[in-house]
Amino acid sequence: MAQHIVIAEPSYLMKRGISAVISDILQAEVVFIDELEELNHYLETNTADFVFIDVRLLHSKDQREIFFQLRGNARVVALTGKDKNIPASRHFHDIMNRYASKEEIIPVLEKLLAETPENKNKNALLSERETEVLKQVALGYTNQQIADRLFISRHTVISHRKNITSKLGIKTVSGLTVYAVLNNLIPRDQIE
Amino acid sequence: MTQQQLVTAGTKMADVIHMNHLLLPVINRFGIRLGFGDQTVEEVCAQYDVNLSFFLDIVNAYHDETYFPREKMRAYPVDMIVDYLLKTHDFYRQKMLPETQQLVEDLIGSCSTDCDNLGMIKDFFSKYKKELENHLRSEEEHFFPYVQALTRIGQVSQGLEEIRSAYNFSYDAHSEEHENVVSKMLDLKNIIIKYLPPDYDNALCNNLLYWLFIFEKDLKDHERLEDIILLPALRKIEQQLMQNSG
Repeated sequence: MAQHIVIAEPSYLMKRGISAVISDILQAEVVFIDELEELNHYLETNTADFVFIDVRLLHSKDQREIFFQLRGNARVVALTGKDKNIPASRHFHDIMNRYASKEEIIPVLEKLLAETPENKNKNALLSERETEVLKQVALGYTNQQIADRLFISRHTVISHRKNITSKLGIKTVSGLTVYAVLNNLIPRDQIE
Repeated sequence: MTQQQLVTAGTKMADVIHMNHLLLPVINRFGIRLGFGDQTVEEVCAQYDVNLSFFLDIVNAYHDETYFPREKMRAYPVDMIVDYLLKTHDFYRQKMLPETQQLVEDLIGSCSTDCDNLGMIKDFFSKYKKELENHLRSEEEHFFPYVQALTRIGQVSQGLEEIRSAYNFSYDAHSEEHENVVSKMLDLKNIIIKYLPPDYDNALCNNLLYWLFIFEKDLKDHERLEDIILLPALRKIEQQLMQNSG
C-alpha cells in the first residue's frame, strides 16, 4: 500500500520539491498542509506514516504540544533552514536541511522509509492471533468483549487491530467484515 | 496544459476540460454546460453569471492539490460556498450513488459460480449509501443552516449555545461522520483491488473502480472545503459572538 505522507510547509517550491523527491523513491500518497492548526485537525481523523514539517510552523507552543500528541506512529522529519534553534528537537526522527545536497538527503530518506512498520509488514500475512482478533471484530464484538473472550488485555486487542488494518489496508469494522467473509474466515450467516 | 499550470481568466474553457476531464462535474455544478467553442473561462462565467474568482479557485483547487488559497477562500460569502456544496450533494445523490450501486450490482451479477460471498460487497455498499445519504441530509438540516444563521445575525440576542442547540449541530458528530464516509470509500476500493475473488467480469470491475476513484476524489475535495474553509469560518464567528455578548 502507498505510504501516507503529509508535507506541512507553506512554501510552494518546497512542497513540490519534497514531494517530487519522495515520489522518486517510493509510492506515496501525499497530502499538503499549510498551517499547524490545519495539520492537527487533519491528524485528529487521519493517520500518517510520515510528517515533513517546516520548523517555522512550530512557533505556537500549544499547537506544537497538540501535534506531538496527535502524530501517533508517524515519523516526523523537521525541515530546517539556517535556523540554529529547532523547537522541541527531541521529538523529531530526523532533520532535513533545505540547503542540503542530494547525497545528504537521499540516504536520510531511504533510512527513514526502511524503518516504517508498514515496510516491515510488507507482504506479511496475518498472524494466527491477528486472524483470531479479526474474526471477533467481524462478528461484531467490541474491543473489551474480544479481550475477555481471548483472555488478552484490551490494549493488546487494539494493537492487533492496528496491525490488521495496516496489513490489509482496511480500517472500518464493516470493511473488515467483508474481508473476513470473502476469505471464508467466518460464514456469512453469522453476520448481523 | 501541464499539471502545474493554473487555470486563469484567459484560459479557453475547452482547454480546461482537455487538461483534466474530472473537472466536468465540477463545472456542471456552476450550471455551465458544454459547447463553449473558443470562449475563455471569463467569457463563459460572465455568460452563466458565475463569480469568476470563486470559479477559478474551486477549479484550481480541485485540479491541483497544492493549490488552496485559504485566506482568499475564507473571504468568499458563506452562502456562495454552501451553495456550491449543496450542488455537490445533489451530484452525489442523483448521480454518484445510484450509478455506483448499479455498477456494484452489475459486477455481482457477472459472477457465475460461488457468488454468495460477493453479496457482502453489495451489502457493504448499500449500508454505505444510506450512511452517506444521512450525512448529506444532516449537513443540509443542521450544519449549513447553522453556519448561515450565524453569518446573518450581527448581534446575538440569544446565547450562542441556544442557537447551536436550535440547529442541533455538533462538531464531533460531524467530523466523525466525515471520517466514516471517507474511510469506508477507501476500504471498498481496497477490498476490490486486493481481495476480490477471481470470478468476475474484468470490464465491469474496472468501471466500478474508475468510478470509485472519481467518487473518492470528489468526497475529499468536498471535505477539504468544509474542514479548511467553512469550519474555521464558523469557529471565528462563534468566537466573535461570544466576545460581543461577553
